[in-house]
Amino acid sequence: MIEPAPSTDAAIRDLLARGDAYRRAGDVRAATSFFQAALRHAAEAGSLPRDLLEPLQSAQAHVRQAGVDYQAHLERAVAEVGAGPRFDEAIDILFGRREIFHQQPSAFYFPGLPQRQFYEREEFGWAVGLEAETEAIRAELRALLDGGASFQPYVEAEADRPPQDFHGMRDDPSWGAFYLWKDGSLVAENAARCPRTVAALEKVPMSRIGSRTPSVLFSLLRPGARIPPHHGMLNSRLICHLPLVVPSGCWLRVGNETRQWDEGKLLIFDDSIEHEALNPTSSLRVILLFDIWRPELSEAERRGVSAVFEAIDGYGRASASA
Amino acid sequence: MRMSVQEAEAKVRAGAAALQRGRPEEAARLLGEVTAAGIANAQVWLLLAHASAKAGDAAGEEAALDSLLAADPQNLRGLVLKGDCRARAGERRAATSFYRRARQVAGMVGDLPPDLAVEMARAERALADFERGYKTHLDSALAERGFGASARSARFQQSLDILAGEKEIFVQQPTAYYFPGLPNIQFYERERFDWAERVEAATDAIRAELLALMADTDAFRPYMVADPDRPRADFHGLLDNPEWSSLYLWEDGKPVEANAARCPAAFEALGQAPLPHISIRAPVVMFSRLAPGARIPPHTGMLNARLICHLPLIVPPGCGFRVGNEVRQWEQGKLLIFDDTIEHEAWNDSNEDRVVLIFDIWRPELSEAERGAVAAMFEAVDDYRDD
Repeated sequence: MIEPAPSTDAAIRDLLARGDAYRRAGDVRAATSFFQAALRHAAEAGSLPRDLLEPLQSAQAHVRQAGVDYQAHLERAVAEVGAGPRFDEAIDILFGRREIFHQQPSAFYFPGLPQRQFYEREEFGWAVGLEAETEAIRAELRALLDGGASFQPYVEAEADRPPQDFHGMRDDPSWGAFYLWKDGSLVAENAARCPRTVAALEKVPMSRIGSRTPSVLFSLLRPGARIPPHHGMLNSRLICHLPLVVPSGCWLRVGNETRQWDEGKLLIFDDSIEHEALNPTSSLRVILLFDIWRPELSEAERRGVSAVFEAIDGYGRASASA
Repeated sequence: MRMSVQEAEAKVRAGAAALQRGRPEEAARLLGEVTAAGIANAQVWLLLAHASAKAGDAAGEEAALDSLLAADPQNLRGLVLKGDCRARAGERRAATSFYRRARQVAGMVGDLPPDLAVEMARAERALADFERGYKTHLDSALAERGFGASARSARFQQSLDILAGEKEIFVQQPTAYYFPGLPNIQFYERERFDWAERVEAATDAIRAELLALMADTDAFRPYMVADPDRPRADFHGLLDNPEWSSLYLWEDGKPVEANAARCPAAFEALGQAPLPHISIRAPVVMFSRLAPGARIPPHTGMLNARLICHLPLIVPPGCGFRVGNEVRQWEQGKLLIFDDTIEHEAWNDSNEDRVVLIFDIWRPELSEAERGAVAAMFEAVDDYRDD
């Protein structure tokens, strides 16, 4: 039984006829697959004889209804299963309600790691201790804001690199940063103004990747500011947000999941998966932002990743020894 | 300083003339007056950069180029010249970033005028030189830090291969069902599964059962068989093709009784493995025969909630198996365990049959509850007949 050459009237008529035969025999699934094939060929054919239009419309209606019935059947079947968020997400993906997102780091990909958007704060032993310091950290932030501390644009032009605009965010003060660590080094002057914050971070497994990480900063989103969808540089760390000042209505999307910041409750996510954020309110949003090692990396792998970036950053520099 | 457009044009002409007469200092002074008045265009900045260079004022040249690129970030000549400045300063890495940007811009422009093509060729040579040195540098710098080739975990080595552009990234692309949050691992190592050794220990006995079955020439049938109740969807010419054929021990989620009776050792060994029970879909267990010269083209499997295992039984030299960016050889009696939702292909370039025992197992990352849920879901899919 060979299917005729595609995109011919005869082929479409044949598929429709076979679909009808299965429909009459009560085999909805077989009918659906023949009707789908007929519709595919019709879509490729371009112009069609007029008398095919009505049966094709009828086939389409059948396919649509079959899809609705099928989904309802599956939804009923899995409604009681309760196997947790990953399974629920799988069902959403199956029905096209959510998309699949993968890690797409712009500079360095470490393979074999779980493709997870958000990590839960309960997974990290140090999280409770840090969250307990929220009030003290916020007080230091308030003092900075009241004292007119200067926040720099999060995305800044680099003197020694071609001008590169990050979705219009370059030098844009609506996404501001006050760094405690920047590119792997403590910013002593700023850190001195936030001793409780620096102390609270001592128990956090911050990533130390050459001269790239850690970065620790108060990240400020001004009213109406939007961080457009983008990917981070590497997938060997996770990004943590400790929300400090959060007007209601702000959100962070990572992959196919959107969460709200909740003051004092950490959000931990993989920034190598597409993410974006919005402050749609008329007040400031401020979080403490820092990075940690991915828990799946062994000690040796962490040292290896750091060595890679030391090596990369040491290449082709006038001052570099190696 | 106020300056009319006419004055500015006159100064630019005078500057260009001075440059031509071999008086770059004077040219730089005249052009500098125009730029200081804030009415320079790209051409003026370029002329000023050129005059400064001729006058031996490297800082002046680079400052003019920076101003040019601030006003016109896609200026191809400006990008190459800025790269040259950084290269002369010994900052090859920075130079490279400007040459790379120039390469991007040149790619968008298409055919370059001859003088620009010469500049671009120089940038390309510098890039090639930089990239040649890069890998060597990385290797020796890693070795110095205690990460020579033998001290790298397999996935760390793979991250370096991807960084060097020698390997691609492959991700799970199941055709029917995607379970999120799992690591994308091409091959799982047999050492990771405690049952693997016990299955491998039965290799000789299973092989003997296979050879007995193969004496019966009709036992195998094509792996891909057309379903009369569905439109024919050919899979790269493999449908009904005896080049890739199989003999099932478990099919449609049930043991095949006749074959079970003839393969007691295989059944006993499989009892050790965590075979998934998913409706009429799994377990699937079969002897899989690949005929001489046959090739299974690249494809991805249906669902990522399981892994596929091969126990190699008859493996002539010249066979190969690729999953994602890694090629492995079958070795008699040594399990290969892989994620079939990552693109994979297989070939037999020998003159003899290749036969492996194929079976599936649950992915180790799935909890008991998740396994139960996946099975329940597929039962619901498969009992959706005509109710």
